Amino acid sequence: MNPYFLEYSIIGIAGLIFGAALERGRMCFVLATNNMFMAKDTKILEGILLAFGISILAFGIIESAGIVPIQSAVQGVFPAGWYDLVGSLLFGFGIGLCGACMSGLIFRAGSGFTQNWMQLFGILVGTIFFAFIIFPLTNFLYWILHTIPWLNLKPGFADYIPHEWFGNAVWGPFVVALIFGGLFLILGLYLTKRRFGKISKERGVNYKEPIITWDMLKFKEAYSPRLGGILFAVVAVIVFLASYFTVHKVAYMGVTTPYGSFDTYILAPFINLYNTVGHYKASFLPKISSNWFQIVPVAIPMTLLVITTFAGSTTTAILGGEFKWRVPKRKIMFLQNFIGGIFTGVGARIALGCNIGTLWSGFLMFSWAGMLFLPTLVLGMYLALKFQQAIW
Amino acid sequence: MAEEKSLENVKPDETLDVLGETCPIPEAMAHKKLNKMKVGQVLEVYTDHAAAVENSFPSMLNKLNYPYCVTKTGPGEFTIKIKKTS
Repeated sequence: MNPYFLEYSIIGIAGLIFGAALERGRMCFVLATNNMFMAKDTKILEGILLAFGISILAFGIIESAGIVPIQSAVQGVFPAGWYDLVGSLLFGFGIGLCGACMSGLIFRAGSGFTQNWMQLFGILVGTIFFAFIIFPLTNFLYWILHTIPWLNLKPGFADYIPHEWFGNAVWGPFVVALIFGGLFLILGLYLTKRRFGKISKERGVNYKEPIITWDMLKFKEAYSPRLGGILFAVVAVIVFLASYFTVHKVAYMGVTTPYGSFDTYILAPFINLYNTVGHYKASFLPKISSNWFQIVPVAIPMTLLVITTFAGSTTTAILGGEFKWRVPKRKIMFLQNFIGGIFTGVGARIALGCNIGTLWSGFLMFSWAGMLFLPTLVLGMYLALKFQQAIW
Repeated sequence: MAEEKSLENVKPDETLDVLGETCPIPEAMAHKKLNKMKVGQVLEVYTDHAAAVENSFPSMLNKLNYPYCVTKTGPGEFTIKIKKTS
């Protein structure tokens, strides 16, 4: 079988599962953190922690067992540095304003929330704004910050934590996965146990929530966040293995970068950004035709993943009877989502990715990028929540 | 506090229409409105954000210890009645 066809087919199907997991499991980082800050509720967070824990452990096993050799895995490792801290703060504030992270955005836009379509538009505008204004400036910032060593971790192999800690030891990835993945998993399981205990005490019964039921499978009720989390992890493993065993070799899972590349499709008849603008020249995305009427190729498998994730979310929203075009009564919400979308786009470009591409993939690739992205992401979302509580 | 069916037929004192809006707006605005209301009054919230109905509202209202009642009024549309008790 043609390896391209195989890779795109597998990743396309993985996207459908991913979309279903997002929509049915309500897997949104903003929802998880808002519930935490506002009511100390951890239900959605537990699913996300489970997704991180299981997938990190799986990647450690895959790399240490040599299913995907370390030398190949390391090619996908994200460079990490000051830009993760700065970018994720802006990104976190942006997604907080819109009430949807990149995964939450896909399932909400796919369920018919028109304000999130405005966020999608804002991200495209933010990407272009970054490319024309901020990118040239960041070269200047790079120059300044390179003189501050503690803010600038070296990209490539040096950011691969197993190599940094254990050299070329084959068991390195597994031990690192055990530390980080184990931490996420234990925290997720602990929070679930604590929540069940609290509800049991309140209701005077032994409270438990099933991970999966027939009604969930029949789309009559939403997935438990834990089921969503498990599917999240399964998709990451499928994409990782499909990438390695077919064409692209480099395993990376992202949403914002392939989505942001849609601006190049829209502007193709007017300007070929890939040949003219520094940010796109530096991009790993392939060059596309400047003729709108030619068949525009799906640039990278991740672009297809975004499209099928969207399709998966919409399909399960329809099957669950939840699809509806939703227009906010307060039209100012369109403006808020547009501005939030610009922050989302700019932040994701500065940090070289979003909560999927840099945060989750960062941890999966055993790079410091995920670790640097996390604290300022949470801070950004917190600030956006406080801002909205103050103005609305 | 668990959901209370007895609130179903109670006439609301205040209403909040947040149809089309996503988290944290529905629960944040409801919280703000409840703060301004008198003890014993009932707030009716119209929302079509299922994730808020399943997660954010129950967790916030359980923490506040306010009884509430959720009614599905259409595909993906809900009405939540909340009684301010303290």
